[in-house]
Amino acid sequence: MKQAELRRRDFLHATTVTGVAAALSASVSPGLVRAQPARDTGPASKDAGPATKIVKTQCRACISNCGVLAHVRDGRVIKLEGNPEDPMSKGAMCAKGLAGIQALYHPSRNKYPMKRVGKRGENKWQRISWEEALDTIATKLMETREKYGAEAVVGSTGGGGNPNFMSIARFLDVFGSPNWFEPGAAQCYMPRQLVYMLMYGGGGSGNTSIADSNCLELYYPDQTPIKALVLWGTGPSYSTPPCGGQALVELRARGVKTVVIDPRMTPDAAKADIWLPIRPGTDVALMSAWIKHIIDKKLYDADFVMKWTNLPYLVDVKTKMLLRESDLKTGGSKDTFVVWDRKTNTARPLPYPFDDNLDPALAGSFTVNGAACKTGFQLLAERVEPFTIAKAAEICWLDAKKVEEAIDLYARNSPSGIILGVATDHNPNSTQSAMGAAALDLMMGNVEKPGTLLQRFTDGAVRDLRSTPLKDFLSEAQLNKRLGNIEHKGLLTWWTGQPAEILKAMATGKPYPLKVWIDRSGNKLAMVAEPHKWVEAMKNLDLIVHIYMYPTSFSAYADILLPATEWLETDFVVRSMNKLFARRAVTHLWETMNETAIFPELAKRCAKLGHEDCRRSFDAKATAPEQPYFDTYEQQLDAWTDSAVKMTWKEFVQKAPVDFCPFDKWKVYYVYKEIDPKTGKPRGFGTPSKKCEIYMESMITLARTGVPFTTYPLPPASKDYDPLLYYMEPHENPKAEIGKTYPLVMTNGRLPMFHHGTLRNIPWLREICPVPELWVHPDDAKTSGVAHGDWLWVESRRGKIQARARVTAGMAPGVVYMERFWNPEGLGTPTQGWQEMNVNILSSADPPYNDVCGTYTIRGYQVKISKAGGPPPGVWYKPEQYAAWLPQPTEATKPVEVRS
Amino acid sequence: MRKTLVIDLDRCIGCYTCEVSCKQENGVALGLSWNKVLTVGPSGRYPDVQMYFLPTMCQECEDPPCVKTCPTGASYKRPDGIVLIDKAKCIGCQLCMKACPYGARSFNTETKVVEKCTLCLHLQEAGDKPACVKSCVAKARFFGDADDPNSDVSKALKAAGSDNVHSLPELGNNKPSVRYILHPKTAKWTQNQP
Amino acid sequence: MESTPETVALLENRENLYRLLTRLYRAEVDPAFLDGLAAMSFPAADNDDDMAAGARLLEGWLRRPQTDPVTTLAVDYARVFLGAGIASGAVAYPYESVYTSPERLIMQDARDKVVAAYRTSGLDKSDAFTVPEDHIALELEFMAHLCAETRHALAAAEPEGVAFGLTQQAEFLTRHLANWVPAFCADVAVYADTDFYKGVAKLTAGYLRMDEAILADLRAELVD
Repeated sequence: MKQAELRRRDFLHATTVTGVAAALSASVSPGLVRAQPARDTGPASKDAGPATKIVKTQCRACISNCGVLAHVRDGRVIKLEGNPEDPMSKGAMCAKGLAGIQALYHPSRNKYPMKRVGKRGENKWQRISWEEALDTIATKLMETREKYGAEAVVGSTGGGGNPNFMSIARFLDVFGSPNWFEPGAAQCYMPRQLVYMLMYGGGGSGNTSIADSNCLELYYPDQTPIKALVLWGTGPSYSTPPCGGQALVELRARGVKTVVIDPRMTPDAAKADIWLPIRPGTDVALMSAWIKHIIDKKLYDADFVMKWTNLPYLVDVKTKMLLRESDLKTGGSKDTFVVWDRKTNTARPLPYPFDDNLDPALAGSFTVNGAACKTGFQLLAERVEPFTIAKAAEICWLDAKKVEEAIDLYARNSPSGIILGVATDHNPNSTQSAMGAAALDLMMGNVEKPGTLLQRFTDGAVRDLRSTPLKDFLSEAQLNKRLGNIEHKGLLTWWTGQPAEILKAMATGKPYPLKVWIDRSGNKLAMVAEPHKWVEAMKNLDLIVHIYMYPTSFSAYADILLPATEWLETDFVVRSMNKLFARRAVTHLWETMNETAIFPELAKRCAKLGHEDCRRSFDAKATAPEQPYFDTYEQQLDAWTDSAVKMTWKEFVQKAPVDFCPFDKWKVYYVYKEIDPKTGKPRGFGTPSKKCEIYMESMITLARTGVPFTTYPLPPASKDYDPLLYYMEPHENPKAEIGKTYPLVMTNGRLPMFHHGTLRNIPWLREICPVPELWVHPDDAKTSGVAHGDWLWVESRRGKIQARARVTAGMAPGVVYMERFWNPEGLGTPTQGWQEMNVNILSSADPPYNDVCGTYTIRGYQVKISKAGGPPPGVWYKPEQYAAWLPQPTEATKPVEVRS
Repeated sequence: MRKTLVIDLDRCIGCYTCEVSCKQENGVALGLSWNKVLTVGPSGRYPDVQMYFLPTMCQECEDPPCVKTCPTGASYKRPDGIVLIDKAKCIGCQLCMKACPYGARSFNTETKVVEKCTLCLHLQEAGDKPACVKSCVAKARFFGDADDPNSDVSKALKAAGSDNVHSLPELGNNKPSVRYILHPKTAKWTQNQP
Repeated sequence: MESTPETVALLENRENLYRLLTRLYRAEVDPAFLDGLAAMSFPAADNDDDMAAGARLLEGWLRRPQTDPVTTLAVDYARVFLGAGIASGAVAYPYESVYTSPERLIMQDARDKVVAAYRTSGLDKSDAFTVPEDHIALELEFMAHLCAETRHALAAAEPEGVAFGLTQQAEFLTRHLANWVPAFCADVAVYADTDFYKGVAKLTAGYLRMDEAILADLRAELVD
């Protein structure tokens, strides 16, 4: 008793703090309040708790957007599983999606807006309110516009990371800056989309990228008659296991034959009938050989080629332009093209769609009114003539016999299709590769019939339930200033700028300085080529804003951090086949914000500061036919669902998924044969000639004017873009001088547990792949003195990084593979996590660039490898280390077993 | 009754979804895995190489060495074939881990007992299938009673044909019950230890 | 238990300290709170226990002349508790779930349990404070709330209410503070830049230890 008394006295003394009540008087509002009776206040016992709700939502761990059932108990997400209602994923969900809970509840999430204190890189931050953050940014934007011009503000995003991809483009249109970029675009999907749009005209999804949710025919394995698939530089088992990966499993199980063209043995390659381990960067050589073989052996669909492509049309050899009726006679139509009629041995106009009285020559050289002309087909045949199978095999490091088998597998098993992946978008021969693959499928007649990949299933009004650019807001003067745009008009497809030119302007101030950078994406320093140059150039910027869910290397150099919502905190509309699904915010943490809502808020503030176009952007009449900015995000959601299915967001969420089109009206074939009631003639393809324009005169028009993607005619590029594919040997290649010091060809590719630069901080996923592996053939390993599991140095002309060796026979000799990587555990150290094992330190932002859209080189360059003493300091590669994702208790205290 | 798994390796694309969904469902600790996806190969001489993926887990042996070695009776085999660990009885001696030919058991350093695949008994009791079976994106996993000709496992095995059905090698006479389907078209089954 | 001035003061002091700690973790120190803190004074202590040592660090820092103490503290707060700009390590995330869940995530079992505890007392988290319910500021606020309830029961001469209140406090303290806050405070001591927050952490750890002992005493007294 005495002891206790003493303790009480001591305690009383020790806890009597004078002035404490007064100090607390200026306090914050209570954190705990009276519970509302309506709330689910279940009993506190372990067995019966609050009920678990199942909320339908859509994943966004990658761009596959698979359907998800989120189990939510009392505001906490406890489990995720796939939603069987989703017709693409069919209830499947991959490891990345399942890790969504770890991503959502990761304590290192960006929680509140932060502004930098002290110098950039010191990593000192102070929390600010959203008001202050947005006001600061808007004020700086307006100052910059005043002093340097709106073009001094550059934006960026990530195609993989940002569900609302065009949000920053739209804001910049309104603000008046033409400059935004993403590390993808010309280096990802845009080359394919642009080429297929011009050649086939099937709209934005009229291409064969399976990872971008096209190739919809493949998701009906029991109905589709497809016989053979070529996976060209794509690995759906890695890039989209529940959608493309699953679809291929079902098709292979039903006897569909596959060819995989990939230097590394991916799961799809392992299960293919033929594996062509191609030298990276040489795809156009191989495609040329395929085209030549198909022409020589007459394996193409002759009727389709004649009637539905522009290959029989005559081309003026000198001007490279197609002949038109107006060239033959005055008053002739500019829209009617010319063929060589073998019956009369004269050039004759060919009325659309065809004239059975004519017998057009498919191949041949002719003279028309004194001008040398050839058919498109002839020009194509001549272009690919040098590429015999033997020659291609030599260039591409392949077995000629296997190459021929592969072409035959594709060409003699119809219908077939070429799924073209991102690999060919990663080097300067990007658009030409797309031209090759598109030409092949179109010449084979692999289009718009059952069993083909190129389809125009009904879109309805629901093409873009995302923010769209407001192109009309960007003046002609400003459009002309878009960096890299005049020379590479293909960038107009996505209304975006060229990273290399933006870097140059940022670094040198030429042709004009850049002063503000707003980025909505993960880790730019892991994704752009030559990040060191960017870090140096960033020193010239007055304001850098980073919008993302976590701190990344890029954040370390920023001035303001804005916390973005995770996919489990986001409301959005997602399309799958003919259905619309709702991505739902099942919870909300801290003060994260959907970035879709950030940009209208910036526009509001700029409007208040006098920016007229920012004011107009809220006026539906001014933005028509595009939607305006809305006051609240709820209004934006309503506008999307109303435009698509005439419902409010609330209604839509109750009913989702909703068919925006009945299935049988959606899955339509032979769209090109549909009769257009206005003309009484077939609709044809979505090109100016209504035929598949395998001879791409459109490339010349694009180079000279920017048509069809521009809002104003633009000055010409320095030279015309070639209407036909051509092969460019990789600039850095083993036979060049550089090959002596750097003998191996580097390539990249996806892994199933990550999506681009994301998820490196998620323990479940990181423990499966703790560090990037460099795959190397046993012969090359031996020559380089490295063994399986060794820590390596990997070097290019541009830099040096580390990796861990995976010696494997599943790798083409002479080629090495490594995926992009950054190390979150390095953030806050001198490397800031982007210098240890980041393969893009090795890649090249220098010329040569792709002529049409400016692609630089992130695959297909030369490297060397050597053994290193150990891992980079500070890198975590043991599973236990990911438990230390948070600080280890500094005392060896174990969490107490809580007994309830 | 013989409840077990059948895995179709022709279909398996090595995406690790089963591994992660098991962790989610069962709260498996970092560094441990009750269902580990292994890569077999690439083997052979380039370019004629083959490769397949091999998810490994408790093989639900008919005569489990782990049960035989366990000093406390914590490891036991149920009448329906499922091998389980009674955590209350487990003293963490880890002898069973040494006895298991497949490395299917893990020692949990926090709870200090051994753990392993339970074929998601808690889900079975709710009328559902194990998490790995439900979550497999390639529909490559089957669960059921191998003694019941109408079960998913029996049907899968029948469709495959006995030439294309394999099991992991034995150590002694433990008789693993898990079966793997692999056709030569995909790859040649390699006798190997996980 | 009798309602003596001493007992009442005991409960009041405890409530005040819990509220003080709540406020310190709930948000950054704003100018008004800074003035209030500077005007506070902790009792002199000749021993070396953590609470006294922590208080000394705190007061020492407050007395030092500085150019911009509010910003300095805000930067420390943002780093140590909000983890601004940090992907891993060097952060003391103030959530019980982070310290007690195997995956070190927020919103795990600990959060569910404290929600149940709050609800038993008829409380819920305010919508204005958008953090998980097992944030240290809320757990400490809950303790303050329980102290107040017990104080009222004592004043109203409700011995059962007093006993129940003390039991609730002891259980919550053991199950939801003592099990993780010491480790959390150790981390803060390492990661904080300012003696201010180092002091707050020491003070917290020391105070909780003392409170555990005092609660045991008070409850033992009830048995008598």
